Amino acid sequence: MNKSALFRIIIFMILALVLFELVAGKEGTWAVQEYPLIWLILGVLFLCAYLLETSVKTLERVLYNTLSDEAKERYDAATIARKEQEFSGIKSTYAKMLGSKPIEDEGEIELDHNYDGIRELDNNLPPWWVYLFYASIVFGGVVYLAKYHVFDIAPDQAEEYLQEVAIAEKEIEEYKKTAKNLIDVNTVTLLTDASDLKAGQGIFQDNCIACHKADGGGGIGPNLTDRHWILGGGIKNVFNTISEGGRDGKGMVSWKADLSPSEMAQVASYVMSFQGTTPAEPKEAEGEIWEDPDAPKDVAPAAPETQVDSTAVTFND
Amino acid sequence: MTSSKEYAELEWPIDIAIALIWVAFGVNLIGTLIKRRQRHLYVAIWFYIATFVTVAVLHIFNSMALPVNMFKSYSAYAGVQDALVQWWYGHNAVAFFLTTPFLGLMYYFVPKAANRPVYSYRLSIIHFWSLIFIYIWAGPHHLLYSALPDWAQNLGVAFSIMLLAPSWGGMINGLLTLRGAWDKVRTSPVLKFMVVAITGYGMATFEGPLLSLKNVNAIAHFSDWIIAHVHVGALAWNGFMTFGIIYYLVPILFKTKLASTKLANFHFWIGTLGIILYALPMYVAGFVQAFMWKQFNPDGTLAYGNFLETVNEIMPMYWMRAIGGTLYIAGMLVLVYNVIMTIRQGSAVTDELVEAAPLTRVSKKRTASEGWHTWLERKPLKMTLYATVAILIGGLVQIVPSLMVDDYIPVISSVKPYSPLELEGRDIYIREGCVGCHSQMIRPFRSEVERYGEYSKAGEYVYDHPFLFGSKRTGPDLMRIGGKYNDNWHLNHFYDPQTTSSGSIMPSYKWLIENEHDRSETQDKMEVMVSLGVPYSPADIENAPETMAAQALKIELSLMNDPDFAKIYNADKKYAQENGEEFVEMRDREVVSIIAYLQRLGTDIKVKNADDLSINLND
Repeated sequence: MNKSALFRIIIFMILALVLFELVAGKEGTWAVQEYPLIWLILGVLFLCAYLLETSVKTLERVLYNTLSDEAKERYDAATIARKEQEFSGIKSTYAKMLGSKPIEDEGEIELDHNYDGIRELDNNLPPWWVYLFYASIVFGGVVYLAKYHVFDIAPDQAEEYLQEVAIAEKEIEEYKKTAKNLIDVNTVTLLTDASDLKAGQGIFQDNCIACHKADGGGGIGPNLTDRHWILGGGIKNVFNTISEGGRDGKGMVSWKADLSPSEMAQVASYVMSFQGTTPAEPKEAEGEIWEDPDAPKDVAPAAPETQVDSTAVTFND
Repeated sequence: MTSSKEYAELEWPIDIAIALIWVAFGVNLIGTLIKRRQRHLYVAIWFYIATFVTVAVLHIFNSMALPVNMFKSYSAYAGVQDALVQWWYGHNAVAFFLTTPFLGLMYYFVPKAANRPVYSYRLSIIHFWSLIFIYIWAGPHHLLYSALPDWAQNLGVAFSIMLLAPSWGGMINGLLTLRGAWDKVRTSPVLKFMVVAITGYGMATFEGPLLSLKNVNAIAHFSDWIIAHVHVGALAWNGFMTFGIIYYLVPILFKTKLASTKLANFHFWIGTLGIILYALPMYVAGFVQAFMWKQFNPDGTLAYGNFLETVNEIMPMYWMRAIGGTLYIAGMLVLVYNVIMTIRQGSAVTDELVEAAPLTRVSKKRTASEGWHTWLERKPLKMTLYATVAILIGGLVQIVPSLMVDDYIPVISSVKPYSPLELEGRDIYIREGCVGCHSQMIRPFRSEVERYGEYSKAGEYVYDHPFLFGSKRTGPDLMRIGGKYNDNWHLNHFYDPQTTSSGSIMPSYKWLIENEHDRSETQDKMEVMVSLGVPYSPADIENAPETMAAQALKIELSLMNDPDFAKIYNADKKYAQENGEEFVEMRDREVVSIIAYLQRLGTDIKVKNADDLSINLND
């Protein structure tokens, strides 16, 4: 089998595969995965194409052998002539777009100077290059600048940003309508499952021990084992502190970009499990003793929460 | 010791030395041209003239600075203006140091090595003038989506797009010169190197306009994509062209043949493989990391909120890059060996006497049938003048408004000059080269605002001499780091970044914590800043030592909040006292200054709620 036949078969097979995918493929999966039968069909198609190509070739050879010598010669000559004609369009377009003198005639355009043995030809500017230059001037110098600064149809970067945020806000809103089991500061509850606490411990070790120590005894950050809380105790406050961060420049950073809500719930629950344990080197207590206002045996008035105003603007003086 | 301006890091005495040397080079270059005995200037010379003129202009204007002492100066420009001047310089330093002189070399060595005439004289005229005229405008594409005004950015984009054809003019004139000599390319290592070099040039100059499109730049900027892009240019175009020239020149100089063509071919293949192994992983790393930066969860949080996740993802790429670079260097060692062996087998060179008749006088005006450009080619001074005009136009249009127009940068009244301690801390930030890995430029993208905070405004940088936007994020942006972490976090992070950020690839900066900080020149620095337009009052300067001491003490006290730190610090102090050693108080150490600076960063308009921004901005 010759090259062109092989080429035709490959193209045919690719075409068949693409058609199958277009017709039977679904989003996210491949049609050939969904219906393994397609492999079989493709196999049969391949066999057919192969047989067709070989039989045509064989037929051609048989017929060729029946020709007289003279006819054979004529046939060969015609084949060669046809071969030469192949791609002549592309070849001539290329030559035209390059616009250069053939090498044999280049003496005609050789300039009369000679620099240290270097000669120069004076070929025309390649037309494709000239068109490219014009096109880039029209696009860059005219269309692009006009779009922004004459007709004002393209948004400047500040507008672009506002559009991006507006689209995202809409999408998030849509998502929250349908999404289930969303955890936020209002719905979070103390998790007690061993698996949740274990996950919480892992998150704590990866992210929190740099400031709070592995046993919660505190270092850069406060001691988590005592009853004193700077930003309020209880699962909701702890969750909120993890999510939003603490006091600017003093407290901890916000983790909501790093941890998912369920991860924050897990690590908050793990933090709560430190209550009453005795760390190796406890840091002295900071903040006030926190009483749960919702606790059933609530007798004493709850300590006021020392939550910072999260919308406060900080100025430098 | 660094001015922190990219490709222009050297301090002012060295800048002056460079300027002097460059002038000497120019005198020699132009003087030789005047004394020449060849009537017309060959195209290679045009490119050398443009190189000399433009590099001189760029170097002088970008290096404008006021010195504090021999080794320290502050850029004359501030913030956005400084960025604009720097990237006018930076982009064109590439253009006129790595492109035009190498095109000149190409125009000499490619026709020589291939023994073929240059393809097209008129193409060389058109692409030379269009290249040097358009190139100079393209600088602002390094500042897309930054706080630079939109019109300047868009002008940069437009001219970058127009730059494609002029750049490719050089490539096609080089490659088509090889017409009829491609059989030689197969056997000659010299031509092989040159062909890959020119092809690399074509690829890099196609990618350049592509990268300057805003939507492509939004992905590529700050990522390793840019690293890949410049290394295709540097390793293929500049490196391989140089290697080809060396392999061509050394045997001729020593009247012998190359010691080993086999080794030269080996160098070619190992070098090509090195470039591929270097560039491809950087493309992948750039793509992967940029898309991770931008990825959101459906609930609106960042998918990779921890910057380190995105760094760890591309670590294998950094290893592959190291392998590619090693191969490339190994190839260069092979070249050195081959050159030495060639020189050793060469014969002693006797001077060849070359004679040329002096030029006969011809009319200064154009003679009959003489083309305009042909006439210009016998007028080296005129040619230099015209080239200067061509390269000045773009710079003037872009930069002069930034220095002249009053409302070029909208004023933000809450932005105040740095305190003396913060200014000193900023100098440490500059000295340690933090800007190499950390940007201070939050682009107006949802993903960046979510990760780093409110996007950067031009008015926030008005006291930044020099600007510290940065151009690569190996680490996260620090524009709004102020107030994010507490002082102890920063101290621990400088001491050992992995303790606070596990998996961090930042090196330790222990010496900042140990070294005493010399703050004896603070007042001089403030004086210089006043000359540059920073509104420190005389009282500010006079009271600087006290203000500085008070702020440093405040930070020392806040550090004491960490019992571990207090314990170690007090123990050190006690040990020093008992042993009669000198002890530097924490407040006098370098780390306190840089913490002061970091805690200030971006806080002038820092808001927790974006809606509040309007009350802070002055329009």
